Amino acid sequence: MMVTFTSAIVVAFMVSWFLASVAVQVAYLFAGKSGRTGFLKFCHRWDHLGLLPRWTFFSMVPDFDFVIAYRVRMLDGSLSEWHIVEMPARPAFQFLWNPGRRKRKAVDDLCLALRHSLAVQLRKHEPSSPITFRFPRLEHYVSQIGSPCGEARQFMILKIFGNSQKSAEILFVSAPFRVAESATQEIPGVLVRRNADAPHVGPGARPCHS
Amino acid sequence: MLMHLTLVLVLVRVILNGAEALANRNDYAALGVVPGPMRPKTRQWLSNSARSRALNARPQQTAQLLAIVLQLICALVLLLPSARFMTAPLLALLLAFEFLIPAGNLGGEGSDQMHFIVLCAITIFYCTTDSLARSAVVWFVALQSMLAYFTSGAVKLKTLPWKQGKAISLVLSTDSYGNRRLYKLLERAPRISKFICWGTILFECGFPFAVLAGPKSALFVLSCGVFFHFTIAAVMGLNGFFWTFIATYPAIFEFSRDLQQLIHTRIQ
Repeated sequence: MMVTFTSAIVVAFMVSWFLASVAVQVAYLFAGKSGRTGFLKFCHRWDHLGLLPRWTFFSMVPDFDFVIAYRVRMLDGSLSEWHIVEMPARPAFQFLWNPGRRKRKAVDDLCLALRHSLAVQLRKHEPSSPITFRFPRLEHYVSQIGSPCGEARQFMILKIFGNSQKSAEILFVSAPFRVAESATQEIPGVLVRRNADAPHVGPGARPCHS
Repeated sequence: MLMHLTLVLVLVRVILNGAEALANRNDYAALGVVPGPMRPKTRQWLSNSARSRALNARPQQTAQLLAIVLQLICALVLLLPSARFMTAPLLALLLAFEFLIPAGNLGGEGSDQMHFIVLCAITIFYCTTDSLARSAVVWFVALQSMLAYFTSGAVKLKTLPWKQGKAISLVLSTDSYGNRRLYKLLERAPRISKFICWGTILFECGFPFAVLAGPKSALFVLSCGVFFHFTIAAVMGLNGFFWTFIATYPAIFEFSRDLQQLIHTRIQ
């Protein structure tokens, strides 16, 4: 086999990419409980193209589901009941077609991000009450559910365990936030539109009646 | 020839991603995430510069969807036998759209990383006719897949629920990935749960060694892999893993065959 300029470049690129991937996996395997080492932080800072993978599938074993519930504060100040935002059902032929898994994972990711940022904010502002913290992405999501009625909304994140012996835990209850306020906040990657045509999300989302 | 099979499987995954994104478009708009697979946060630099310039002429959600639909069209055209002569440019275009879909760190799954890696590799494979360069790409895909299995197995060896044999039943107890009937069955039979947990660890850790042992054992472990991913897709609903990881199998088989030939040549 003749070594040409093209083959030298391709081989060098592939070898470097693979060796960098191996180094990152070793770092993940030996990272402490925080899951972050100086080397991994360095890699994440410079990996602009997202070339370095993380192959630690199911190292964190999920034993619960996040559930979002919301309620609406009406114009007269009364509060509606809590409505659970239901996730799309899994189809029988999910090995072929399961688009709902993306939404379920997105909601999980949002709740995990909330848990993480809650911990960070509590560390930073110890005297503050968590009720004062804002989570624009979740507020935006909750504000898009159902019909746009009421003065404000409030959401709650619950952890529901599959094991029936464990009871559900409330992870976070937000302060009431104004729907219009949240819907006009700038969220990266989202075209925020608040009008009557706003998409209704979640089969469990019920329009409120004052 | 084997890499053509990889290409077909990658295209199936692209089409699946596109169709799922179209089915999810309203939900994604409300969630504030990209209607498609995960893009690492690190690629957001592109979203703030090049992508914005390329796509911001239209409202963002429409533009994101447009990029995904264009990817879908590219994949469908690539599947046509008459389009073989333009495989390289179409793949390059498909990869470019992959970068143009904005960064979003929500709703992604682990198989998206492998999908991106294989897509990059297969584009390089079809962009060159150099046999050494092509072999390097095949070996890269195979080694990356073997690394994925091994790391995944090794990390489970460090995780208590996996070692105790409880991980599978815990996962099955959730609504997101679980199955109530199987969960109850495994709760009654903890030995089966332990067997499945340790079977998974042994399969994942032993995967690269079976491939290195030669094409025959590679074929055996690849057959086990097809069954493994099909079960995950059917029980947990993670169908993306099936197409993405199976797409690396032709490269793994070719790697195993090449390696054995190389060893034989050296010995002689």
